[in-house]
Amino acid sequence: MLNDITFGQYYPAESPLHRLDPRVKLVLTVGLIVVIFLARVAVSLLLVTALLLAVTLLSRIPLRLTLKSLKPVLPLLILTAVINLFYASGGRVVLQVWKLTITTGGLLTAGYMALRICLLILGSSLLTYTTTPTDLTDALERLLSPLKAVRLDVHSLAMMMTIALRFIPTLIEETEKITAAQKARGADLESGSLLRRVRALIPILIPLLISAFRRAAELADAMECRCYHGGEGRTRLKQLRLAPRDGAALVLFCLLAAGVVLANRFLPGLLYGLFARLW
Amino acid sequence: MAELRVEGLSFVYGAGTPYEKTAVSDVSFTIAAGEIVGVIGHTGSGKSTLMQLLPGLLRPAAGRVLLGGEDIWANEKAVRQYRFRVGLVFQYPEYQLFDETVERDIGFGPRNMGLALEEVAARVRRAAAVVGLPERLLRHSPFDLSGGEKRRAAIAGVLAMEPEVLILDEPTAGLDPAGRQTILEMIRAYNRQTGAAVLFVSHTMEDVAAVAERVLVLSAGRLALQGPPAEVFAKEEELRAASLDVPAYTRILAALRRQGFPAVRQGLYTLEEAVAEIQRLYAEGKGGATC
Ligand SMILES: Nc1ncnc2c1ncn2[C@@H]1O[C@H](COP(=O)(O)OP(=O)(O)O)[C@@H](O)[C@H]1O
Ligand SMILES: [Mg+2]
Repeated sequence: MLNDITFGQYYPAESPLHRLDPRVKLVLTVGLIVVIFLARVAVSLLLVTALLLAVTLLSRIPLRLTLKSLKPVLPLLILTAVINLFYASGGRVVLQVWKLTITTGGLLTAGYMALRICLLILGSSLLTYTTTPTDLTDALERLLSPLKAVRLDVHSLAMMMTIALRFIPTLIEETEKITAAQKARGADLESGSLLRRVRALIPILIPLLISAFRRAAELADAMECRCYHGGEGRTRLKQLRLAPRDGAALVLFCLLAAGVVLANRFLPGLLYGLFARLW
Repeated sequence: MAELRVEGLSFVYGAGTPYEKTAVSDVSFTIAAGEIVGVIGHTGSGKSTLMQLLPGLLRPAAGRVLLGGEDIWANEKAVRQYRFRVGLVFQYPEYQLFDETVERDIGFGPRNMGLALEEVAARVRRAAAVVGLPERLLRHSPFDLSGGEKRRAAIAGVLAMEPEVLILDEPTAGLDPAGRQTILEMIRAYNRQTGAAVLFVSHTMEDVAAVAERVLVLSAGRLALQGPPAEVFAKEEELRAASLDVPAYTRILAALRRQGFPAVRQGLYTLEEAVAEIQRLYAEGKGGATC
Protein backbone atom coordinates (compact mmCIF):
# COMPACT_ATOMS: atom_id res chain seq x y z
CA MET A 1 0.00 0.00 0.00
CA LEU A 2 2.85 2.37 0.80
CA ASN A 3 4.25 1.89 -2.66
CA ASP A 4 1.31 3.82 -4.05
CA ILE A 5 2.59 7.21 -2.95
CA THR A 6 3.65 8.58 -6.30
CA PHE A 7 3.44 12.27 -5.59
CA GLY A 8 6.97 13.52 -5.22
CA GLN A 9 8.68 10.40 -6.41
CA TYR A 10 11.63 10.57 -8.70
CA TYR A 11 11.23 8.71 -12.00
CA PRO A 12 14.58 7.96 -13.61
CA ALA A 13 14.76 8.59 -17.34
CA GLU A 14 16.98 10.25 -19.94
CA SER A 15 15.29 13.46 -21.00
CA PRO A 16 16.11 17.15 -21.49
CA LEU A 17 13.89 17.85 -18.51
CA HIS A 18 15.87 15.54 -16.26
CA ARG A 19 19.08 17.27 -17.30
CA LEU A 20 17.82 20.78 -16.63
CA ASP A 21 19.44 22.60 -13.70
CA PRO A 22 17.30 21.96 -10.60
CA ARG A 23 17.42 25.66 -9.70
CA VAL A 24 15.96 26.56 -13.06
CA LYS A 25 13.30 23.89 -12.72
CA LEU A 26 12.35 25.15 -9.29
CA VAL A 27 12.09 28.76 -10.47
CA LEU A 28 10.12 27.71 -13.53
CA THR A 29 7.70 25.69 -11.44
CA VAL A 30 7.04 28.66 -9.16
CA GLY A 31 6.69 30.81 -12.27
CA LEU A 32 4.29 28.33 -13.80
CA ILE A 33 2.08 28.48 -10.70
CA VAL A 34 1.93 32.27 -10.98
CA VAL A 35 1.15 32.06 -14.71
CA ILE A 36 -1.62 29.53 -14.10
CA PHE A 37 -3.31 31.98 -11.76
CA LEU A 38 -2.69 34.87 -14.12
CA ALA A 39 -4.35 33.03 -16.99
CA ARG A 40 -7.83 34.45 -16.73
CA VAL A 41 -9.12 33.71 -20.22
CA ALA A 42 -9.65 30.51 -22.12
CA VAL A 43 -6.99 31.15 -24.74
CA SER A 44 -4.26 31.65 -22.17
CA LEU A 45 -5.33 28.59 -20.18
CA LEU A 46 -5.24 26.51 -23.35
CA LEU A 47 -1.79 27.89 -24.09
CA VAL A 48 -0.53 26.75 -20.67
CA THR A 49 -2.19 23.35 -21.08
CA ALA A 50 -0.61 22.82 -24.49
CA LEU A 51 2.83 23.75 -23.23
CA LEU A 52 2.54 21.54 -20.15
CA LEU A 53 1.46 18.60 -22.30
CA ALA A 54 4.40 19.13 -24.64
CA VAL A 55 6.82 19.31 -21.71
CA THR A 56 5.34 16.16 -20.19
CA LEU A 57 5.85 14.31 -23.46
CA LEU A 58 9.40 15.64 -23.57
CA SER A 59 10.11 14.31 -20.07
CA ARG A 60 9.59 10.66 -21.14
CA ILE A 61 7.45 10.02 -18.10
CA PRO A 62 4.55 7.65 -18.79
CA LEU A 63 1.33 9.65 -19.06
CA ARG A 64 -0.38 7.11 -16.81
CA LEU A 65 2.05 8.01 -14.03
CA THR A 66 1.54 11.76 -14.33
CA LEU A 67 -2.21 11.33 -14.30
CA LYS A 68 -1.89 9.19 -11.19
CA SER A 69 -0.62 12.22 -9.28
CA LEU A 70 -4.08 13.76 -9.74
CA LYS A 71 -5.79 10.99 -7.82
CA PRO A 72 -5.17 12.30 -4.27
CA VAL A 73 -6.64 15.74 -5.14
CA LEU A 74 -9.67 14.40 -6.97
CA PRO A 75 -12.10 15.12 -4.09
CA LEU A 76 -10.82 18.71 -3.85
CA LEU A 77 -11.12 19.04 -7.59
CA ILE A 78 -14.74 17.93 -7.65
CA LEU A 79 -15.69 20.04 -4.62
CA THR A 80 -14.20 23.20 -6.15
CA ALA A 81 -15.90 22.56 -9.45
CA VAL A 82 -19.32 21.95 -7.86
CA ILE A 83 -19.12 25.02 -5.62
CA ASN A 84 -18.13 27.22 -8.54
CA LEU A 85 -20.84 25.70 -10.68
CA PHE A 86 -23.55 27.02 -8.36
CA TYR A 87 -21.98 30.15 -6.92
CA ALA A 88 -20.37 31.79 -9.91
CA SER A 89 -22.89 33.79 -11.88
CA GLY A 90 -22.99 35.65 -15.16
CA GLY A 91 -24.15 34.74 -18.61
CA ARG A 92 -27.43 33.02 -19.29
CA VAL A 93 -29.28 30.61 -17.07
CA VAL A 94 -28.84 27.04 -18.23
CA LEU A 95 -30.66 25.17 -15.52
CA GLN A 96 -32.71 26.13 -12.50
CA VAL A 97 -33.74 23.64 -9.86
CA TRP A 98 -35.39 25.08 -6.77
CA LYS A 99 -32.97 27.75 -5.47
CA LEU A 100 -29.97 26.45 -7.36
CA THR A 101 -29.13 28.11 -10.64
CA ILE A 102 -26.53 27.02 -13.12
CA THR A 103 -25.43 29.71 -15.52
CA THR A 104 -23.10 29.64 -18.48
CA GLY A 105 -20.76 31.76 -16.37
CA GLY A 106 -20.88 29.17 -13.62
CA LEU A 107 -20.11 26.38 -16.06
CA LEU A 108 -17.13 28.22 -17.42
CA THR A 109 -15.74 29.21 -14.02
CA ALA A 110 -16.13 25.64 -12.74
CA GLY A 111 -14.28 24.32 -15.81
CA TYR A 112 -11.52 26.94 -15.44
CA MET A 113 -11.00 26.16 -11.77
CA ALA A 114 -10.85 22.41 -12.32
CA LEU A 115 -8.39 22.85 -15.19
CA ARG A 116 -6.26 25.20 -13.09
CA ILE A 117 -5.99 22.73 -10.24
CA CYS A 118 -5.08 19.93 -12.67
CA LEU A 119 -2.39 22.10 -14.25
CA LEU A 120 -0.97 23.04 -10.84
CA ILE A 121 -0.65 19.44 -9.75
CA LEU A 122 0.70 18.20 -13.09
CA GLY A 123 3.22 21.02 -13.25
CA SER A 124 4.57 20.53 -9.77
CA SER A 125 4.65 16.74 -9.96
CA LEU A 126 6.63 17.09 -13.18
CA LEU A 127 9.29 18.82 -11.09
CA THR A 128 9.46 16.03 -8.53
CA TYR A 129 9.32 13.29 -11.14
CA THR A 130 12.32 14.68 -13.00
CA THR A 131 14.42 15.92 -10.09
CA THR A 132 15.96 13.83 -7.31
CA PRO A 133 15.10 15.06 -3.81
CA THR A 134 18.77 15.76 -3.17
CA ASP A 135 19.01 18.00 -6.22
CA LEU A 136 15.82 19.71 -5.17
CA THR A 137 17.01 20.62 -1.68
CA ASP A 138 20.35 21.59 -3.13
CA ALA A 139 18.60 23.99 -5.47
CA LEU A 140 16.44 25.31 -2.66
CA GLU A 141 19.46 25.97 -0.51
CA ARG A 142 21.15 27.91 -3.31
CA LEU A 143 18.08 29.92 -4.18
CA LEU A 144 17.38 30.80 -0.55
CA SER A 145 20.99 31.61 0.29
CA PRO A 146 20.41 35.40 0.05
CA LEU A 147 18.25 34.96 3.16
CA LYS A 148 21.42 34.29 5.12
CA ALA A 149 21.68 38.06 5.28
CA VAL A 150 18.65 38.11 7.58
CA ARG A 151 20.30 35.39 9.71
CA LEU A 152 18.13 32.55 8.48
CA ASP A 153 20.11 29.30 8.76
CA VAL A 154 19.40 28.16 5.22
CA HIS A 155 21.98 25.37 5.31
CA SER A 156 20.51 23.71 8.39
CA LEU A 157 17.01 23.92 6.95
CA ALA A 158 18.17 22.34 3.71
CA MET A 159 20.12 19.67 5.59
CA MET A 160 17.06 18.79 7.66
CA MET A 161 15.00 18.54 4.52
CA THR A 162 17.60 16.39 2.80
CA ILE A 163 17.75 14.04 5.78
CA ALA A 164 13.97 13.86 6.04
CA LEU A 165 13.67 13.08 2.32
CA ARG A 166 16.54 10.61 2.47
CA PHE A 167 14.84 8.67 5.25
CA ILE A 168 11.36 8.48 3.75
CA PRO A 169 12.19 5.36 1.68
CA THR A 170 14.08 3.89 4.63
CA LEU A 171 11.09 4.38 6.90
CA ILE A 172 8.74 2.98 4.29
CA GLU A 173 10.94 -0.08 3.96
CA GLU A 174 11.13 -0.39 7.73
CA THR A 175 7.33 -0.10 8.01
CA GLU A 176 6.90 -2.85 5.45
CA LYS A 177 9.34 -5.09 7.28
CA ILE A 178 7.75 -4.58 10.68
CA THR A 179 4.27 -5.01 9.21
CA ALA A 180 5.33 -8.28 7.59
CA ALA A 181 6.93 -9.45 10.85
CA GLN A 182 3.76 -8.75 12.83
CA LYS A 183 1.64 -10.36 10.12
CA ALA A 184 3.86 -13.42 10.48
CA ARG A 185 2.61 -13.52 14.07
CA GLY A 186 -0.96 -13.33 12.85
CA ALA A 187 -1.55 -9.58 13.20
CA ASP A 188 -4.81 -8.81 11.42
CA LEU A 189 -4.76 -5.35 9.83
CA GLU A 190 -7.51 -5.74 7.30
CA SER A 191 -10.65 -6.62 9.21
CA GLY A 192 -12.68 -5.39 12.15
CA SER A 193 -14.10 -2.05 13.22
CA LEU A 194 -12.22 1.23 12.81
CA LEU A 195 -11.17 1.16 16.46
CA ARG A 196 -9.85 -2.38 16.10
CA ARG A 197 -7.87 -1.42 13.02
CA VAL A 198 -6.34 1.60 14.72
CA ARG A 199 -5.39 -0.57 17.69
CA ALA A 200 -3.89 -3.12 15.32
CA LEU A 201 -1.40 -0.43 14.25
CA ILE A 202 0.20 -0.23 17.71
CA PRO A 203 2.48 -3.26 17.17
CA ILE A 204 3.75 -1.52 14.05
CA LEU A 205 4.00 2.09 15.22
CA ILE A 206 5.90 1.42 18.43
CA PRO A 207 8.81 -0.49 16.85
CA LEU A 208 8.83 2.07 14.03
CA LEU A 209 9.13 5.04 16.41
CA ILE A 210 11.83 3.33 18.43
CA SER A 211 13.84 2.56 15.34
CA ALA A 212 13.41 6.12 14.00
CA PHE A 213 14.84 7.56 17.21
CA ARG A 214 17.66 5.03 17.16
CA ARG A 215 18.48 5.95 13.58
CA ALA A 216 18.41 9.67 14.36
CA ALA A 217 20.83 9.23 17.23
CA GLU A 218 23.14 7.05 15.15
CA LEU A 219 23.10 9.49 12.25
CA ALA A 220 23.89 12.42 14.55
CA ASP A 221 26.84 10.47 15.99
CA ALA A 222 28.07 9.52 12.54
CA MET A 223 27.87 13.13 11.34
CA GLU A 224 29.75 14.39 14.38
CA CYS A 225 32.39 11.71 13.96
CA ARG A 226 33.01 13.12 10.51
CA CYS A 227 33.33 16.63 11.97
CA TYR A 228 30.09 18.01 10.58
CA HIS A 229 29.64 21.48 12.01
CA GLY A 230 27.07 23.15 9.80
CA GLY A 231 27.34 24.93 6.51
CA GLU A 232 30.24 27.26 7.12
CA GLY A 233 33.12 26.70 4.71
CA ARG A 234 31.49 23.56 3.35
CA THR A 235 32.12 22.80 -0.32
CA ARG A 236 30.11 20.56 -2.60
CA LEU A 237 30.85 17.40 -4.47
CA LYS A 238 28.37 18.25 -7.19
CA GLN A 239 28.57 21.85 -8.43
CA LEU A 240 25.52 23.22 -10.16
CA ARG A 241 26.33 24.96 -13.43
CA LEU A 242 23.93 26.62 -15.82
CA ALA A 243 24.02 25.28 -19.39
CA PRO A 244 22.61 26.72 -22.66
CA ARG A 245 19.53 24.52 -22.33
CA ASP A 246 18.72 26.24 -19.03
CA GLY A 247 18.73 29.57 -20.83
CA ALA A 248 16.53 28.14 -23.55
CA ALA A 249 14.05 26.89 -20.98
CA LEU A 250 13.90 30.31 -19.32
CA VAL A 251 13.34 32.04 -22.67
CA LEU A 252 10.58 29.58 -23.58
CA PHE A 253 8.92 30.21 -20.27
CA CYS A 254 9.12 33.99 -20.72
CA LEU A 255 7.43 33.61 -24.12
CA LEU A 256 4.64 31.61 -22.47
CA ALA A 257 4.19 34.22 -19.75
CA ALA A 258 4.10 37.00 -22.36
CA GLY A 259 1.59 35.00 -24.41
CA VAL A 260 -0.65 34.57 -21.40
CA VAL A 261 -0.52 38.27 -20.48
CA LEU A 262 -1.19 39.33 -24.07
CA ALA A 263 -4.08 36.89 -24.42
CA ASN A 264 -5.55 38.19 -21.17
CA ARG A 265 -5.31 41.73 -22.51
CA PHE A 266 -6.36 41.35 -26.14
CA LEU A 267 -8.41 38.17 -26.39
CA PRO A 268 -10.76 38.31 -23.43
CA GLY A 269 -13.93 36.40 -23.92
CA LEU A 270 -12.94 35.00 -27.30
CA LEU A 271 -14.04 31.49 -26.52
CA TYR A 272 -16.68 32.71 -24.13
CA GLY A 273 -18.23 34.70 -26.95
CA LEU A 274 -18.21 31.66 -29.20
CA PHE A 275 -19.60 29.51 -26.44
CA ALA A 276 -22.41 31.97 -25.69
CA ARG A 277 -23.33 32.36 -29.35
CA LEU A 278 -23.48 28.60 -29.93
CA TRP A 279 -25.70 28.04 -26.91
CA MET B 1 2.99 -32.34 11.07
CA ALA B 2 2.72 -31.56 7.41
CA GLU B 3 5.27 -31.36 4.65
CA LEU B 4 5.94 -28.05 2.96
CA ARG B 5 6.28 -28.16 -0.79
CA VAL B 6 7.16 -25.42 -3.23
CA GLU B 7 6.54 -25.71 -6.97
CA GLY B 8 7.96 -23.39 -9.60
CA LEU B 9 7.89 -20.42 -7.24
CA SER B 10 8.75 -16.98 -8.64
CA PHE B 11 8.57 -13.48 -7.22
CA VAL B 12 9.13 -10.06 -8.81
CA TYR B 13 9.56 -6.81 -6.87
CA GLY B 14 8.08 -3.65 -8.37
CA ALA B 15 6.55 -5.40 -11.37
CA GLY B 16 5.80 -2.89 -14.13
CA THR B 17 8.06 -0.14 -12.73
CA PRO B 18 11.57 0.83 -13.82
CA TYR B 19 12.80 -0.81 -10.59
CA GLU B 20 11.48 -4.25 -11.55
CA LYS B 21 13.56 -7.05 -10.04
CA THR B 22 13.05 -10.81 -10.17
CA ALA B 23 14.13 -11.95 -6.72
CA VAL B 24 13.05 -15.61 -6.87
CA SER B 25 12.63 -17.55 -10.07
CA ASP B 26 11.27 -21.03 -10.63
CA VAL B 27 12.22 -22.58 -7.30
CA SER B 28 10.95 -26.04 -6.33
CA PHE B 29 11.73 -28.16 -3.26
CA THR B 30 10.10 -30.14 -0.47
CA ILE B 31 10.67 -29.90 3.27
CA ALA B 32 9.65 -33.17 4.90
CA ALA B 33 8.02 -33.16 8.33
CA GLY B 34 10.61 -32.98 11.10
CA GLU B 35 13.53 -32.16 8.82
CA ILE B 36 16.19 -29.51 9.55
CA VAL B 37 17.18 -27.69 6.37
CA GLY B 38 19.78 -24.97 5.93
CA VAL B 39 19.51 -22.30 3.23
CA ILE B 40 22.66 -20.61 1.97
CA GLY B 41 23.25 -18.05 -0.74
CA HIS B 42 25.12 -14.85 -1.46
CA THR B 43 23.62 -11.51 -0.31
CA GLY B 44 20.79 -10.62 -2.68
CA SER B 45 20.31 -14.18 -3.89
CA GLY B 46 16.67 -14.09 -2.80
CA LYS B 47 16.80 -15.97 0.50
CA SER B 48 14.70 -13.50 2.50
CA THR B 49 12.19 -13.17 -0.31
CA LEU B 50 11.83 -16.95 -0.54
CA MET B 51 11.37 -17.19 3.23
CA GLN B 52 8.55 -14.60 3.10
CA LEU B 53 6.82 -16.49 0.30
CA LEU B 54 6.57 -19.65 2.42
CA PRO B 55 4.10 -18.34 5.05
CA GLY B 56 2.23 -16.33 2.42
CA LEU B 57 3.54 -12.90 3.42
CA LEU B 58 4.34 -12.23 -0.22
CA ARG B 59 2.17 -13.43 -3.03
CA PRO B 60 4.08 -15.43 -5.67
CA ALA B 61 4.08 -14.16 -9.25
CA ALA B 62 4.05 -17.78 -10.36
CA GLY B 63 4.10 -21.18 -8.71
CA ARG B 64 2.52 -22.63 -5.60
CA VAL B 65 3.27 -23.13 -1.92
CA LEU B 66 1.68 -26.31 -0.59
CA LEU B 67 1.35 -27.12 3.11
CA GLY B 68 0.26 -30.70 3.62
CA GLY B 69 -0.82 -30.72 -0.01
CA GLU B 70 -3.07 -27.63 0.29
CA ASP B 71 -2.30 -24.54 -1.78
CA ILE B 72 -2.02 -21.74 0.79
CA TRP B 73 -3.33 -19.19 -1.72
CA ALA B 74 -6.36 -21.30 -2.70
CA ASN B 75 -8.49 -19.01 -0.53
CA GLU B 76 -7.00 -15.56 -0.14
CA LYS B 77 -8.88 -14.87 3.11
CA ALA B 78 -7.53 -17.99 4.78
CA VAL B 79 -3.82 -17.29 4.22
CA ARG B 80 -3.56 -15.88 7.73
CA GLN B 81 -4.34 -19.30 9.20
CA TYR B 82 -1.28 -20.78 7.48
CA ARG B 83 0.96 -18.21 9.14
CA PHE B 84 0.33 -19.89 12.49
CA ARG B 85 1.44 -23.21 11.00
CA VAL B 86 4.46 -21.88 9.08
CA GLY B 87 6.18 -19.58 11.58
CA LEU B 88 8.68 -17.08 10.20
CA VAL B 89 11.31 -15.36 12.33
CA PHE B 90 12.58 -12.35 10.36
CA GLN B 91 16.19 -11.23 10.29
CA TYR B 92 16.92 -9.03 13.34
CA PRO B 93 13.55 -9.94 14.90
CA GLU B 94 14.38 -7.91 18.02
CA TYR B 95 13.22 -4.79 16.15
CA GLN B 96 9.65 -6.03 16.12
CA LEU B 97 9.22 -6.15 19.94
CA PHE B 98 6.51 -3.73 21.04
CA ASP B 99 4.48 -4.78 24.06
CA GLU B 100 4.73 -3.69 27.69
CA THR B 101 6.18 -6.92 29.00
CA VAL B 102 8.16 -9.74 27.44
CA GLU B 103 5.36 -12.10 28.43
CA ARG B 104 2.73 -10.10 26.55
CA ASP B 105 4.99 -9.73 23.52
CA ILE B 106 5.63 -13.46 23.27
CA GLY B 107 1.88 -14.00 23.71
CA PHE B 108 0.99 -11.75 20.76
CA GLY B 109 0.95 -14.61 18.23
CA PRO B 110 -1.01 -17.06 20.41
CA ARG B 111 -3.55 -14.30 21.25
CA ASN B 112 -4.00 -13.64 17.55
CA MET B 113 -4.72 -17.36 17.15
CA GLY B 114 -7.69 -16.81 19.45
CA LEU B 115 -6.44 -19.22 22.13
CA ALA B 116 -7.75 -19.19 25.71
CA LEU B 117 -5.72 -17.12 28.19
CA GLU B 118 -4.43 -20.15 30.12
CA GLU B 119 -3.29 -21.78 26.90
CA VAL B 120 -1.54 -18.55 25.86
CA ALA B 121 0.23 -18.37 29.23
CA ALA B 122 1.30 -22.02 29.00
CA ARG B 123 2.68 -21.55 25.48
CA VAL B 124 4.58 -18.41 26.50
CA ARG B 125 6.27 -20.37 29.31
CA ARG B 126 7.13 -23.28 27.01
CA ALA B 127 8.55 -20.99 24.32
CA ALA B 128 10.57 -19.01 26.87
CA ALA B 129 11.99 -22.29 28.16
CA VAL B 130 13.01 -23.44 24.66
CA VAL B 131 14.95 -20.23 24.00
CA GLY B 132 16.33 -20.19 27.53
CA LEU B 133 14.77 -16.97 28.79
CA PRO B 134 14.56 -16.99 32.61
CA GLU B 135 11.04 -16.65 34.11
CA ARG B 136 11.85 -13.43 35.94
CA LEU B 137 12.55 -11.65 32.65
CA LEU B 138 9.00 -12.29 31.45
CA ARG B 139 7.67 -9.42 33.56
CA HIS B 140 10.29 -6.94 32.27
CA SER B 141 9.83 -4.53 29.41
CA PRO B 142 11.32 -6.06 26.24
CA PHE B 143 13.29 -2.84 25.78
CA ASP B 144 15.22 -3.44 29.02
CA LEU B 145 16.69 -6.75 27.83
CA SER B 146 20.19 -7.20 26.46
CA GLY B 147 20.67 -7.63 22.70
CA GLY B 148 20.92 -11.42 22.89
CA GLU B 149 17.92 -11.67 25.22
CA LYS B 150 15.84 -9.49 22.90
CA ARG B 151 16.66 -11.79 20.00
CA ARG B 152 15.62 -14.82 22.03
CA ALA B 153 12.41 -13.15 23.22
CA ALA B 154 11.51 -12.29 19.61
CA ILE B 155 12.17 -15.86 18.47
CA ALA B 156 10.04 -17.12 21.36
CA GLY B 157 7.23 -14.93 19.98
CA VAL B 158 7.11 -17.15 16.90
CA LEU B 159 7.80 -20.43 18.74
CA ALA B 160 4.80 -19.73 21.00
CA MET B 161 2.51 -20.25 18.01
CA GLU B 162 4.01 -23.77 17.89
CA PRO B 163 4.31 -23.82 14.09
CA GLU B 164 4.70 -27.10 12.23
CA VAL B 165 7.37 -25.52 10.06
CA LEU B 166 9.71 -23.04 11.74
CA ILE B 167 11.59 -20.67 9.45
CA LEU B 168 14.42 -18.47 10.66
CA ASP B 169 16.02 -15.83 8.43
CA GLU B 170 19.65 -15.42 9.50
CA PRO B 171 18.88 -16.04 13.17
CA THR B 172 22.54 -15.82 14.18
CA ALA B 173 23.38 -12.59 12.31
CA GLY B 174 25.31 -10.16 14.48
CA LEU B 175 25.70 -12.53 17.44
CA ASP B 176 28.94 -13.58 19.13
CA PRO B 177 29.99 -17.27 18.92
CA ALA B 178 28.32 -18.09 22.26
CA GLY B 179 25.08 -16.41 21.18
CA ARG B 180 25.21 -18.27 17.87
CA GLN B 181 25.67 -21.56 19.68
CA THR B 182 22.62 -20.84 21.86
CA ILE B 183 20.44 -20.20 18.81
CA LEU B 184 21.62 -23.38 17.08
CA GLU B 185 20.93 -25.43 20.23
CA MET B 186 17.49 -23.86 20.31
CA ILE B 187 16.79 -24.89 16.72
CA ARG B 188 17.71 -28.46 17.54
CA ALA B 189 15.70 -28.41 20.79
CA TYR B 190 12.53 -27.14 19.12
CA ASN B 191 12.89 -29.70 16.35
CA ARG B 192 13.42 -32.55 18.83
CA GLN B 193 10.67 -31.56 21.26
CA THR B 194 7.91 -30.83 18.77
CA GLY B 195 8.90 -32.79 15.68
CA ALA B 196 8.49 -29.62 13.60
CA ALA B 197 10.52 -29.04 10.46
CA VAL B 198 13.03 -26.19 10.67
CA LEU B 199 14.31 -24.15 7.76
CA PHE B 200 17.03 -21.66 8.55
CA VAL B 201 19.04 -19.19 6.51
CA SER B 202 22.66 -18.67 7.43
CA HIS B 203 25.77 -17.01 6.10
CA THR B 204 27.96 -19.24 8.22
CA MET B 205 28.75 -22.48 6.42
CA GLU B 206 30.02 -23.98 9.67
CA ASP B 207 26.60 -23.48 11.32
CA VAL B 208 24.78 -25.05 8.40
CA ALA B 209 27.18 -27.99 8.37
CA ALA B 210 26.72 -28.53 12.09
CA VAL B 211 22.91 -28.41 12.23
CA ALA B 212 21.30 -29.05 8.84
CA GLU B 213 20.38 -32.47 7.48
CA ARG B 214 19.92 -30.96 4.06
CA VAL B 215 21.13 -27.77 2.37
CA LEU B 216 19.48 -25.56 -0.25
CA VAL B 217 21.80 -23.28 -2.21
CA LEU B 218 20.30 -20.18 -3.81
CA SER B 219 22.07 -18.24 -6.52
CA ALA B 220 20.54 -15.22 -8.25
CA GLY B 221 17.02 -16.26 -7.27
CA ARG B 222 17.42 -19.84 -8.50
CA LEU B 223 17.93 -23.06 -6.58
CA ALA B 224 21.49 -23.91 -7.64
CA LEU B 225 22.08 -27.02 -5.52
CA GLN B 226 20.37 -29.11 -2.88
CA GLY B 227 21.25 -32.18 -0.89
CA PRO B 228 22.90 -33.40 2.32
CA PRO B 229 25.75 -31.15 3.57
CA ALA B 230 28.40 -33.74 2.67
CA GLU B 231 27.22 -33.75 -0.94
CA VAL B 232 26.76 -30.00 -1.29
CA PHE B 233 30.04 -29.06 0.36
CA ALA B 234 31.88 -31.52 -1.87
CA LYS B 235 30.86 -29.43 -4.89
CA GLU B 236 33.34 -26.68 -4.31
CA GLU B 237 33.25 -25.47 -7.92
CA GLU B 238 29.47 -24.97 -7.96
CA LEU B 239 29.61 -23.21 -4.60
CA ARG B 240 32.29 -20.86 -5.88
CA ALA B 241 30.07 -20.11 -8.88
CA ALA B 242 27.33 -19.10 -6.43
CA SER B 243 29.88 -16.85 -4.63
CA LEU B 244 29.92 -19.20 -1.63
CA ASP B 245 32.61 -21.06 0.20
CA VAL B 246 32.95 -24.43 1.90
CA PRO B 247 33.20 -24.54 5.72
CA ALA B 248 36.55 -23.42 7.18
CA TYR B 249 37.22 -26.94 8.51
CA THR B 250 36.94 -28.40 5.02
CA ARG B 251 39.33 -25.73 3.74
CA ILE B 252 41.88 -26.50 6.47
CA LEU B 253 41.81 -30.21 5.64
CA ALA B 254 42.17 -29.45 1.92
CA ALA B 255 45.14 -27.20 2.70
CA LEU B 256 46.74 -30.00 4.73
CA ARG B 257 46.41 -32.33 1.75
CA ARG B 258 48.12 -29.81 -0.48
CA GLN B 259 50.89 -29.33 2.10
CA GLY B 260 51.95 -32.93 1.77
CA PHE B 261 49.50 -34.97 3.82
CA PRO B 262 47.86 -37.08 1.13
CA ALA B 263 46.29 -39.32 3.79
CA VAL B 264 43.78 -36.56 4.79
CA ARG B 265 40.26 -37.71 4.05
CA GLN B 266 37.91 -35.49 2.08
CA GLY B 267 34.23 -34.79 2.58
CA LEU B 268 34.54 -33.75 6.22
CA TYR B 269 32.79 -30.52 7.07
CA THR B 270 32.10 -30.18 10.80
CA LEU B 271 34.40 -29.15 13.62
CA GLU B 272 34.16 -32.53 15.33
CA GLU B 273 35.07 -34.43 12.17
CA ALA B 274 37.99 -32.12 11.44
CA VAL B 275 39.34 -32.45 14.97
CA ALA B 276 39.04 -36.24 14.84
CA GLU B 277 40.78 -36.36 11.47
CA ILE B 278 43.70 -34.22 12.60
CA GLN B 279 44.05 -36.28 15.79
CA ARG B 280 44.09 -39.45 13.70
CA LEU B 281 46.78 -38.02 11.44
CA TYR B 282 48.77 -36.91 14.44
CA ALA B 283 48.58 -40.32 16.10
CA GLU B 284 49.57 -42.08 12.88
CA GLY B 285 52.31 -39.54 12.30
CA LYS B 286 53.81 -40.33 15.70
CA GLY B 287 54.01 -43.99 14.74
CA GLY B 288 55.31 -43.16 11.28
CA ALA B 289 57.84 -40.55 10.28
CA THR B 290 55.91 -37.73 8.53
CA CYS B 291 55.09 -35.44 11.51
N1 LIG C 1 11.28 -4.70 -0.77
C1 LIG C 1 12.02 -4.83 -1.88
N2 LIG C 1 11.79 -4.06 -2.97
C2 LIG C 1 12.52 -4.20 -4.09
N3 LIG C 1 13.51 -5.07 -4.24
C3 LIG C 1 13.82 -5.87 -3.21
C4 LIG C 1 13.09 -5.80 -1.97
N4 LIG C 1 13.61 -6.71 -1.12
C5 LIG C 1 14.60 -7.32 -1.79
N5 LIG C 1 14.73 -6.83 -3.04
C6 LIG C 1 15.70 -7.28 -4.06
O1 LIG C 1 15.48 -8.65 -4.31
C7 LIG C 1 16.70 -9.36 -4.36
C8 LIG C 1 16.70 -10.46 -3.32
O2 LIG C 1 16.70 -9.88 -2.04
P1 LIG C 1 16.63 -10.74 -0.71
O3 LIG C 1 15.54 -11.72 -0.82
O4 LIG C 1 16.57 -9.79 0.44
O5 LIG C 1 18.04 -11.49 -0.73
P2 LIG C 1 18.90 -12.11 0.45
O6 LIG C 1 18.04 -12.27 1.65
O7 LIG C 1 19.39 -13.41 -0.11
O8 LIG C 1 20.05 -11.18 0.71
C9 LIG C 1 17.80 -8.33 -4.16
O9 LIG C 1 18.32 -8.01 -5.41
C10 LIG C 1 17.11 -7.16 -3.53
O10 LIG C 1 17.72 -5.98 -3.95
MG1 LIG D 1 18.22 -11.56 3.61
